[in-house]
Amino acid sequence: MKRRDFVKGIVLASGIVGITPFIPAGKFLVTTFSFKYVRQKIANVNDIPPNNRLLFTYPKTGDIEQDSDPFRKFLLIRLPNGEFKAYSAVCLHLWCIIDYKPDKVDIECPCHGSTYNAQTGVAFKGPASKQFNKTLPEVKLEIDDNGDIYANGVIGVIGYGREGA
Amino acid sequence: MDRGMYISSHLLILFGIIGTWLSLYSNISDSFKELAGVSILLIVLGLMTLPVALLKNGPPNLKQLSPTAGVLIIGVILIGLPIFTGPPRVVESGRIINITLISTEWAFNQTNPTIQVELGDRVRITLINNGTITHSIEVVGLGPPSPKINPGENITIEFVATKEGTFDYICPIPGHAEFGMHGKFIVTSRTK
Amino acid sequence: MGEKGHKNIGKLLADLYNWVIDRLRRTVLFGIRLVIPKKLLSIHGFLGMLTLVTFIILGVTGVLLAFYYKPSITQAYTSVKLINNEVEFGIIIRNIHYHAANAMLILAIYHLFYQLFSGKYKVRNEVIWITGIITGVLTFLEAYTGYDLILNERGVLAINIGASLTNSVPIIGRTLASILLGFGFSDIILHFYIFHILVIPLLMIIILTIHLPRNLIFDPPVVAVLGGAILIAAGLYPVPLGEGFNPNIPPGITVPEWYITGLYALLRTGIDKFVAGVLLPTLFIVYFLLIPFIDKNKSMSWHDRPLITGLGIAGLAQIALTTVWGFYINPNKVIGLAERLAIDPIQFYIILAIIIAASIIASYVYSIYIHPKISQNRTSNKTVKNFKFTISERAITALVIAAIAIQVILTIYSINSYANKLYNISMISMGASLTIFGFLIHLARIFSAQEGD
Repeated sequence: MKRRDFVKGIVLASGIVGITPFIPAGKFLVTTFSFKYVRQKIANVNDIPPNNRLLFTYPKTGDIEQDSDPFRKFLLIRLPNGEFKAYSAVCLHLWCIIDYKPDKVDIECPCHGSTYNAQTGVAFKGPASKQFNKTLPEVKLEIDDNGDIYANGVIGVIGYGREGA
Repeated sequence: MDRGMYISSHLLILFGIIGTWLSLYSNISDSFKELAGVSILLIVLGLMTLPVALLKNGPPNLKQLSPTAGVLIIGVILIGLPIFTGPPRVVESGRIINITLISTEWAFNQTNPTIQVELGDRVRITLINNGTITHSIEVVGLGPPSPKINPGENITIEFVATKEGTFDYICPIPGHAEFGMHGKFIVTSRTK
Repeated sequence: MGEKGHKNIGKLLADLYNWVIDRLRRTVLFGIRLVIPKKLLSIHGFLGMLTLVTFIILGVTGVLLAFYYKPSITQAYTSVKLINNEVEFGIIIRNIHYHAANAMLILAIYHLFYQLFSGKYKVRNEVIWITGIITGVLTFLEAYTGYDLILNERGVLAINIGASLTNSVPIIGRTLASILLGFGFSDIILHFYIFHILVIPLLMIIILTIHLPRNLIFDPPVVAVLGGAILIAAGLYPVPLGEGFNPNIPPGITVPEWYITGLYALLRTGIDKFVAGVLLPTLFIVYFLLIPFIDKNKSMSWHDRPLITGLGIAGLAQIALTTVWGFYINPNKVIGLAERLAIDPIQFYIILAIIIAASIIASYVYSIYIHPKISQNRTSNKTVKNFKFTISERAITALVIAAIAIQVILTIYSINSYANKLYNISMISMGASLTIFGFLIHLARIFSAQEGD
């Protein structure tokens, strides 16, 4: 190997090694989450009677601007059998705020009538039911001995955007 | 005459005329009205280039002018004519028909009754929202929709039945008519 | 003072001017030469420059709007409403910004197809062609991010479609979405704002430095008429505010802006979202990027390369058709939303395929059978080349005086109608006055050209 080529190779290798630590810095753009789904107390079991619901903000920041984001709105539902469920309150179709209907035991969207099964969070009627992804993102719930309900993480993608028309 | 410019200016004006016609008069879809602003820009751009295209290297001859005349005639017919030949004026019959509709999910008055009026009648529809969500009322083709009203509120719309035929009265909030909030609104010819 | 003092001041100013110019000669500014034509030229020669002019108009009005706009969930809509209803001249600035964006897109498309049919992408212009296509795509993205910023129902519909398209990209979709959209509305609005006012314009300016030719033709009359056209369009069809997005209130049916309805029509055919919304448009753009490498024919004229011409006509027709089709919503309000919006995919794609086939066949038929006959005829009767359009001095004087008089009337009318809150009429009169100004410059040009003879 010529001396010149060797020097070139060394410079190249050094450059590559020098740049390497900057590559993971691309994560700066990807993790733009202005918040993380931390464990947060929502309510107590006694706050909400069976077959009823509660709209809550998660994660709550205390900033009015941030907390008004529809993507932070969730629906805590106590089913008639006493079971607790919590879903994202944003309809999968056009991002309206959905609501629980105690008389029908399902979740309805006021905008285009998408209707979700309250037990599973799967849409069975309206535009959302015609999508490929028709399951509402669900909040992982934890209930401690005092009956306090905590939210701890979300399964699914909020604001995926509608599919089809 | 500049050939490229000659063709393009005619195309621009033609596209603009079709766009304007769609946005102003076409009954095919309500949303075409959004095309209007763009169509005006197309027409102005075409008109701006037309004289240059025609006058370059000498005055145009009759053969070259005939497409221009054609495009302009199409424009006058499509855009100008509907202004003069609008729908015939309907003389009001003098009757006032008062109708009350009660909206619930998902029907008007439970059964969506068929409403029948005569040509020229003044119709007043009062909508009472007894449902749990927002509703509204529109007689498609005879008037604009009423504002949306919340549960417990009511609103009155008023219009004159100017066209004969069978129309739909619906809740214009997307999805609601699909779930059943629609009925027939029939305008018959005048009896006397 | 007196005669001498005037002379000294004049010399001082001239020296200062020369000093500045001398220093500027070293900068990039003097790499570009602004050519002001002495007679009326075909605008095809400087369509790109006209697009640049609208870009500058957009930059100026955009900066003005940015003084009042607030990129936040709660204040985006209300701040635009404030600009529209309360801020002095806010409604006019906003309308110029909106209609100049429309004009920029139209001019960009016009520019693209003129260059395509006239074969200007050849003769070592490949890089200029490619940067032009990229600038065009960026213009589209700039317009898209711009009209979402108001956060009304129409904007949120577009954001929703954009989000779902980004998410639909295989493998990298989720990562891409988190880069472009962030998380939640407050991120989306901030990201779009940064893209709209900083990232995309900056990229456009950088790419334009490799796109613009050294000699820029700046024709004042045409630019004035263009400005007038924008104002007249703004006055006739002022952009509405729309309904602010409220997730608790059902939105009415809205269609996106006209430059997205083509894409919207593709999406509404119901085939796979990634194919319809991302793959097909990308293929369309890639085809345009590759044209200089597909077309190896040395000839510039369009009838010597029927395939490229045919595909070009097909592209234009497809843009027109899909744009109009995207606006179409089934007027039967009784059937469901999904059915009203659905477009029959078989019908849609067959028509698009027929357009391609018909354009190519027509193009071949023209260049093989019709064009030779026409050119034979044409050589036999050549038109007079030495045509000259002359206007008498008296006529020009009369025209100029009449034009200025109308301009004065229009200006007074415009100010008066603004004071009376008749903003539409104010904008139309401003536009008409600007258009007359354009004609006046042209008359002045004819006049000085005749004097020179």
